[in-house]
Amino acid sequence: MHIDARQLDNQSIIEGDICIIGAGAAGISIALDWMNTPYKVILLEGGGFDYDEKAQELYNGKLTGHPYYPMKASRLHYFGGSSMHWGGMCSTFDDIDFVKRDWVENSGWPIKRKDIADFYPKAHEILDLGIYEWEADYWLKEIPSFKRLPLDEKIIWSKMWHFSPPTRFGTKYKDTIVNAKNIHLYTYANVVDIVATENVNAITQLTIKNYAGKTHTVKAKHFILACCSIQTSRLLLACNKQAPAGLGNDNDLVGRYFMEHPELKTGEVWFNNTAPLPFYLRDEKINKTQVRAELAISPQKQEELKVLNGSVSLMPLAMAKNTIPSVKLWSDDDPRRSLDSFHKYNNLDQRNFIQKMFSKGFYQSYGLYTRTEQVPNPNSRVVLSDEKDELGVPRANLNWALSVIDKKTVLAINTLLGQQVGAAGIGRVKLADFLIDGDENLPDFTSGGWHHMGTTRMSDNPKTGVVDANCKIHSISNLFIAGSSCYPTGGAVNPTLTVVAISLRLSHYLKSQMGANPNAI
Amino acid sequence: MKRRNFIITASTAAIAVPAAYYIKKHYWKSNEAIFIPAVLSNFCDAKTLVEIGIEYRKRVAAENEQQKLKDLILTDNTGKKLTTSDRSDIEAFINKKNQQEFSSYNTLILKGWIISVTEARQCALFSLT
Repeated sequence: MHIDARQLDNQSIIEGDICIIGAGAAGISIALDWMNTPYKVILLEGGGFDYDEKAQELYNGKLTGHPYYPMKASRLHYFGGSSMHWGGMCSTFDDIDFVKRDWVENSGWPIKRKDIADFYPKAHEILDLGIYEWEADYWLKEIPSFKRLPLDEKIIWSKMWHFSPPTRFGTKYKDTIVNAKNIHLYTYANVVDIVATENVNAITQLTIKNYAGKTHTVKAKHFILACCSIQTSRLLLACNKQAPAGLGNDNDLVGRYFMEHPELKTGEVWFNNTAPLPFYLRDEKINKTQVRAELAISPQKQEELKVLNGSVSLMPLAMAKNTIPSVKLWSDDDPRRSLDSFHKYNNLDQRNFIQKMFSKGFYQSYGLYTRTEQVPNPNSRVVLSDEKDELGVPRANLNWALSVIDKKTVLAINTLLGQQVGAAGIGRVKLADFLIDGDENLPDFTSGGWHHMGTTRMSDNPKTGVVDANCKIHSISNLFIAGSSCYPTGGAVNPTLTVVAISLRLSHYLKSQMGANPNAI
Repeated sequence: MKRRNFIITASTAAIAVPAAYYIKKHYWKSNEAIFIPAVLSNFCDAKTLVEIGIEYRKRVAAENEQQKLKDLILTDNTGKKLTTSDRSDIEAFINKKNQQEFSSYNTLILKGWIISVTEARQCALFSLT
């Protein structure tokens, strides 16, 4: 069922069992999981079904720290959320990503990979990722043209990526959600306040507003914030009437530890012979499943070198030389114009041409692109601005802060790759100048992957985390957070698959708490 | 062409042609495989090899001498020195040594290139001869 909140009578009261705030990948995945249950699910979306400049404007804010994408342009504010412009790259987190590592400050999840692993297959399906198979050996066997570089897998291993079509949640799941009897989707329903009980240990209701000047109240038994890292933390911080520091912020953690995946061009690899390497590109499909491998640093080497997780992808050098860092391309406040600029420079015709040449084995040199985990840094954070948006909510400002270990990691991975390529006798690696310039920090042109993580990190201890292992805010009995804002560390892979998996896990938990059959569909 | 003239030509012409082309043309016959970093010379021009060599000699001043570099290049990791003058034997020896050094992380980053110590010494020798 769909209701446009602008059309409701002012001061309407909406009631349900569960209220999901945000209709992006996380929120829609949870809503789908509750379809056909006897529970009334309220799904709130701040925008409509299409891009709306006024709704998007609510995401505006200021940036400080490391150069980043404009606040207004880095997330989409309409049904489907940022899935409406994502690239579709997916991979799973590694075991080590969940572990407390003594060389990585603030690392360690209160759950292990196996606690999420059960939800990966379903997430995989939701994201249209095709065959559920993540082992490189499987793909090497299935696709004859795939050949692995002869590197020591105990040092540099082949980590697989799957490519979603990409699934646009707002397109693919719109009819399903709208036609679901127990899902009540409200568009133009921006949450501007969260009201708690007197002792602030439970949420009683929300206040929603829109540009039509309507204000409504939403009541539910359980509330799930699924607005992604920046907006989720913004809302918690802004709800400071009853809790002066903001909801769930007794320990000054909300908004902190914002993480991205630093990614940039880090060098070149030159092979002795020309040879096609389709295993490392995305030019092969099997049963609509598109995969490729990246060259990832092994857990043993991460520990030995005291660095973070990360991987390197290859691109024919002729093409790599012409690329421009994403942070420079995606610089317009309007996400549509930024996207256009991005696509223009990553010209598909050029890519196809080069891929064709490449597949004939014309290339022996490739650009190296490195994407790494970012160490959780308390100074990398979302804070409230003095300025308010048109609905009266303080805007969010972002300070993206990187650390010395981030650059150390990029250098270590590429050096290791160079050593392995040399040891295999297949070529040599040349590092980019910035890696050997003596500066301890990553350069300004380091981009992110539009991967917002952290800001409401998970921990068993309220002093070190905003939510517990079930994504429930420690001090509040019925307020949950879905998505990557709960990640204590961000791994080195695109987060969407795990966002959906962790949201499904939360959904499963909530069902068990409410006495519903957790496996019911 | 004399060695000095070659280097001057290579550096002043700002050529980006793999050094192997020139080296093979001008020096291969001289059986001096010892100062030719065979793999690297496929990817770098002669000017870069010289620059790598100069940088190495600055870093490791104790090796800034032709005979010393030759001895080090032709000595394996057990201290045994290669005595043959056969070019293919020398190439095979150096190739094996390079791979061993990469495997044992006995590498350097010079002018951005991740190279074995032996390759660095070859470049150093190249820049001296």
